[in-house]
Amino acid sequence: MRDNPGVDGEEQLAAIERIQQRMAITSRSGARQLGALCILLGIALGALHVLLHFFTPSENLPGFFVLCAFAALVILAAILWYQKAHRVLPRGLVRPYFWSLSASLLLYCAALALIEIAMTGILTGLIGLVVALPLILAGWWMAAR
Amino acid sequence: MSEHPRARMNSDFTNPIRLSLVAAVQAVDEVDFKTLRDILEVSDSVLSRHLSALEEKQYLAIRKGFVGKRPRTWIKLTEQGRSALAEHVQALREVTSRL
Repeated sequence: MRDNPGVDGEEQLAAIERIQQRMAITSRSGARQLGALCILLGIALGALHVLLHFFTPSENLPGFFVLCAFAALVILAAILWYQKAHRVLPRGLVRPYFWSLSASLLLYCAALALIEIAMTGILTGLIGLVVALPLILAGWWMAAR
Repeated sequence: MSEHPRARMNSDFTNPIRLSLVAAVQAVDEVDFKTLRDILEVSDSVLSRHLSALEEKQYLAIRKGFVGKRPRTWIKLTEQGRSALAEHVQALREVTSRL
């Protein structure tokens, strides 16, 4: 039985506060890293969609394959960097990451249907931006926390 | 007579390192061993011992993986651990509010 649970209680609450403040600093770094990953993935998907309009399979099959391989390497490098760099997964970021990645991938798949349709560079760029937007917004939000 | 809140304080958290450990992990979804060790300012062996004890109580879930060829250990708080800490903190607040 404690002789003075009140004093011990205050010390314990103070210790919890201190450690959680230290954890919050580390957690911010983790959020920035996940945010950077989201933004990189968003840019990669958006850029891939735009570039595939200029390297369509019907017009330039070798170029199409090289571009796809390069995009796969960029995405893999980003994921490997994140796996190596991150040490903390902050609370409340897994779902935004999952939903933004799903949204961008769905938009990318939908945009693939338009790939053989002739369109202006501006429109192609806009579609690429729409594909990238969910990940870029989520990444920006995470990094800004 | 109602129970004094000190009766609801969790004896598993009386050790200051264990309390700090659980409080640190509570603040995030997952944290790696090295980061936790640096934040708590303890040695590898001390942290390992406390992690094992808390894992046995099912307050923590420990996952071992690799980054390249290097092993990495990840720690997260279970729902049971989260509830236990919340109850302990509530009891602490009630005890200190009686002063």
